[in-house]
Amino acid sequence: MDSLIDLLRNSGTSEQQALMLVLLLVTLPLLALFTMQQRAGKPVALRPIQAFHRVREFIGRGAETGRPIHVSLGTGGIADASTAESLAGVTFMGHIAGQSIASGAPLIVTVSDPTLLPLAQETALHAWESRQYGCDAAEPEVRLVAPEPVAYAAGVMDTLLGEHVAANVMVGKFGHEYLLMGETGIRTRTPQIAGGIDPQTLAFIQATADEVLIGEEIFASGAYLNPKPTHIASLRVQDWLRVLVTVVILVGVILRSV
Amino acid sequence: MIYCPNCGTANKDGSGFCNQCGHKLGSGSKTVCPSCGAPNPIENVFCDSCGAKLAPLVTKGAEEKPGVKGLSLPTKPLDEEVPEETPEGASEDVPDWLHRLRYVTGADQEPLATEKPAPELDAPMPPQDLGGEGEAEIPDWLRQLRAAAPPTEEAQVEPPAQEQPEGEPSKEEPAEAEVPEWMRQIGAEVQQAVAAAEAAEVKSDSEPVTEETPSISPLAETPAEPEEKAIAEEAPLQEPLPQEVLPVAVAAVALPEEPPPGETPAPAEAREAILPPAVPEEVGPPEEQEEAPPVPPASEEALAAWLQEEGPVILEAGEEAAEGETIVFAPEEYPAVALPQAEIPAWLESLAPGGGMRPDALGPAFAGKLTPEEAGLERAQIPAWLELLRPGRAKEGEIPVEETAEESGILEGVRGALRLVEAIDPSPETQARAVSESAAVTPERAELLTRLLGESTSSLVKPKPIPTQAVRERGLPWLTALLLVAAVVLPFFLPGLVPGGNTVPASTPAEALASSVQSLQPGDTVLVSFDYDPGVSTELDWPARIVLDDLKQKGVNILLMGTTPTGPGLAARFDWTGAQMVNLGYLPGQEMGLQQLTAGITGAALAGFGGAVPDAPFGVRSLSDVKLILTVASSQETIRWWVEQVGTQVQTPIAAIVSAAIEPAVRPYYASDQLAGLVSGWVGGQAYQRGSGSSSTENKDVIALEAQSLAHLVIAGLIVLGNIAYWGKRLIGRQS
Amino acid sequence: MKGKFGRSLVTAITISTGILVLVNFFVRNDFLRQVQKTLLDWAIILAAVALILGIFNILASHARKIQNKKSGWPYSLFLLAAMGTVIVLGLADPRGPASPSVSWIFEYVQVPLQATIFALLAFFVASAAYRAFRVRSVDSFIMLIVGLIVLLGQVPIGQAIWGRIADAKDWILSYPSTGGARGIILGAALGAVLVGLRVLLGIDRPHVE
Repeated sequence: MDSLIDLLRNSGTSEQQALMLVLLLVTLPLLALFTMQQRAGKPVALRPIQAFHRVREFIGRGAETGRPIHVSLGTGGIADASTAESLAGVTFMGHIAGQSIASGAPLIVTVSDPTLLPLAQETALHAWESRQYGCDAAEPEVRLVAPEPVAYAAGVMDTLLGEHVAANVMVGKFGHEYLLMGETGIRTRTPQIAGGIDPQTLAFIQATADEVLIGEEIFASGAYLNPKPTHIASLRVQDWLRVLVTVVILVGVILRSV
Repeated sequence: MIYCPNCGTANKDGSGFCNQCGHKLGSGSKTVCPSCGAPNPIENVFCDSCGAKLAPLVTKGAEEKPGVKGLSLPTKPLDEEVPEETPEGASEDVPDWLHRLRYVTGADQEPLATEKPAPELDAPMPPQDLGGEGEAEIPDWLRQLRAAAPPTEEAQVEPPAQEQPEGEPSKEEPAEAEVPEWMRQIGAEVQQAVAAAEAAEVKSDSEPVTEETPSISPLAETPAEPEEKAIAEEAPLQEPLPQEVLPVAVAAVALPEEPPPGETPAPAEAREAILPPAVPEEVGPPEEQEEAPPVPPASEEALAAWLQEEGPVILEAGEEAAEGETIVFAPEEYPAVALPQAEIPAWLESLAPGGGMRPDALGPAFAGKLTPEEAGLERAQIPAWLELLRPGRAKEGEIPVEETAEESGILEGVRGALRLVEAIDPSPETQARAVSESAAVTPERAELLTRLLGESTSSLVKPKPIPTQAVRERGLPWLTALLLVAAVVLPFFLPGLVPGGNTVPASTPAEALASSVQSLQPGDTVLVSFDYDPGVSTELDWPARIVLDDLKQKGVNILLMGTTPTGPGLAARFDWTGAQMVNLGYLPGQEMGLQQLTAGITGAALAGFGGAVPDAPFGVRSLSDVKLILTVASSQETIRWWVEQVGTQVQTPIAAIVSAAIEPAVRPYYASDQLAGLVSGWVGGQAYQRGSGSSSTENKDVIALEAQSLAHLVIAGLIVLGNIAYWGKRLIGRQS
Repeated sequence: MKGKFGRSLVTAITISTGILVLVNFFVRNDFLRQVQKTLLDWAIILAAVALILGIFNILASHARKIQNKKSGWPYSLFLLAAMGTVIVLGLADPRGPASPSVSWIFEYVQVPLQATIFALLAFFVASAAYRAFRVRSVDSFIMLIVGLIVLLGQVPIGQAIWGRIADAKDWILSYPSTGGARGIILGAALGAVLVGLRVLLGIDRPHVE
């Protein structure tokens, strides 16, 4: 390993760059291969994720009661490291928007980061403009609450308390302020689905949400809700990379110990 | 989620007991979907699995009831099963006899199925056909033409049984309907004629029957002689009937056994062919059969005689019927059979197109004929089982069913039909009566509805919660709040309440930071980044101030900045009197901005705070010129940005002051030597003080530590209390 | 952007800039570094513009609420008034957020308010702990014990209860807790890499509708 590192340094490549290069060289071919396999129709069994299954129930609840469905995209934006989580939340929100508009359930989307606002608006409006002729669903409402996480949580609490939402979906980047929103949902007896990748926030999510999306499950919404070959191929690549990383860790531990 | 049936608390799926009250959550708290059988939470309206409605609005039986307007008579009692064999082209709603009726009148052009024999065109069609059993078969009256006649005393039609149990059809009714009294009389007369014919000579010519015959009607109480009739030529058959569906007598007449060409078959032979084969008596009530006198067997000559007189004449091809004779039918395949013109009873004429009852009774197809009353028909008694099916049977004081003609549907023009429509579309009288009955109630209800609609939803009174549930819902948060407030306030009044409250646990990372600060020299520059939100300022301000005070005392130069918009403002709140400090302001872009910062301070997009950023503050142009980078952060990601973007590019040590909540996530960075020091929360601050050799003797610091200890103890106690309450209720629930 | 050409253009821009930044990570080239810096500057500027868009969104949302007299509309009115006040005061002084008036509002209004709301977490944590740490199985029992050790190990009173509770807490936080957290973070990181690659290669185009 040390010789490898020396070799890299001599070539002017840092460890970070080398690792990134290896990751790309492994990921891209796998992604292409699995995408071709999925387009050819290879069957893949995805384990059930209850959160995606219950979304339909939540939308039905909103359609029945006429109360809005609230979707929170978290405190992240698309100009920083939380872009992936924000995009995952937007993907999930897009699916919910399409289903709720088709069923007539009102939709409220709240964001904290201003950079996420145009993307969320565009996604929600696209779903609304794609509605079928004769559909009288209300136009979804996308709101910027506040850039500060705590202020954002206070605004969402007000939405949950004041607008009597039928269901609450929170997928994105959240910090400790999540507990303020989650507990409010518990107190108002609002069914909740929540997901994030921060382990500490996941503890709060587990204690308050009805269905939880743990870590990478928030990135699987595309494959579960709108299965395209590329999404399913992406999940398979993730599985392969996870195994690869596990093997590398084990090998490294063994080599270090010997 | 499973909602507790006792207190309504939401519980996670799979829970066996309610978290709140301990009530058992079994199958009783779920609703089973009637469509797919999947269990659903009680509050569900739609099934989670298949989407079916969990509480159907109507019963299954109600949906299956026919809703055809104008349908008056079901083909069978509703208790009976629908026979699987139905004539082809006949729908389930259309009874067989009606289907045949339509066929005869030409309304139903589809040929009858060969499986079921076509309606016997010669057979009298009773207006009320009460059953579909064996109607297409050779009626018993025809069989009886070959057999001995039943006694005349049984000519009286027995009234239908009135004492049938509800819902059960009279099993004798079909038998009676199939063998009406007038048909029995035919048999009786046949027997008499047979006896008479034995002694008489066979006549060669048949005479048309001129005497009037009473109208034949199965409904008539007085029997009438059966007459063979002619079917009007206005109702030609679309296609010839297959031989097997022909009545026996007609078939025998139509197809004599191989008559030699050009020769007229001998009358005897012809009549022999006409004779129906002797069949044993099968039909007829046992009582009638027992009482019937023995019928002498029919002899060929005797039967032939009366048939000769009144029977049909087989016409040769091209031969025309004599005056007074009517051709029964003349399909191409069969020789024409001429029947003496007889007076056709009204009910039989009604089968003919253009004849029959009044238009308003039978429809436009039967215009200009006698009404049933004019034809001597009397209304048949509706059997008890059918009477039970009359919708809205007239009770005392109720408006009876009107005997009006059907205006639409398949029974258009039929009078006296039971108005099922009465239940669906009540008559004005019924409606008026209903209105009058509800007149007293309607204003009250209307007033209530108006009042409810006028009220705003906000003024609606919420249902009162269950007392125990209300206490739990309101009491628990209040109890929690009181305990926590007490934990914070009590140390102010009772210092030293917490044993060992001022004992600061050892913290190596905090002491490491203290060492790093102690190693600084006057004139060194330290970059301090305020990367936390105002929400956690109460936790991080104090340890940050301790470290900054040490830096000020050391005489180091301090560069302030922030990766959050509020960072520089938070930094500005500290007392910088006598300190060498420059506030570089907000650095946008988060980790991208930090990446730019590694290239140089002037290249970064630092906005400055209260003034422009100097070109080289304290001679610092890049991060390499800084001796220590200290970040005060409330999120793990900020530490990661600094470590990944800056720690890998520059050799300057990085230390962190973090919230105690993120310490577990940040500690690995210290363990891997990516952080030079780590102070977490108030406890870390006090540990730093001990490490720097300046333990705080201020009372408020000790009180703060005691308050924190008490608060942790309260939360731990709440956790234990929650488990005690949960298990206690569970045990109580089990015992009860 | 609507239309096929618009969508293609946006996708092309996305792919080209992404590849540019990625190549710059591997290849040390001054030109590429300058291009990357320019692109990052533009991204920062766009984020600031997005903030202005957000301000208009807040204005529209709360104005609609006030106009329709929805429940809680006085709070919307107060919010708009406060936002306007701070903006006006900040623009009026050339020092901007460092001006005394804005600093005063920040120190005596914003910070205490946010701290107060964040302090609610204490009560919510207690309430969540009361509900979440119910012993229903072996796993939940272990979680309860671990939670109590970490909770009391953070404060001096824990030392008074059990002298070695701090060591137990450190061990729990360093090994099992960190191991589990790292597993989640690894999986999430891989997911994020795949999402980024999908956007980079134009496979996923959430920004193009």
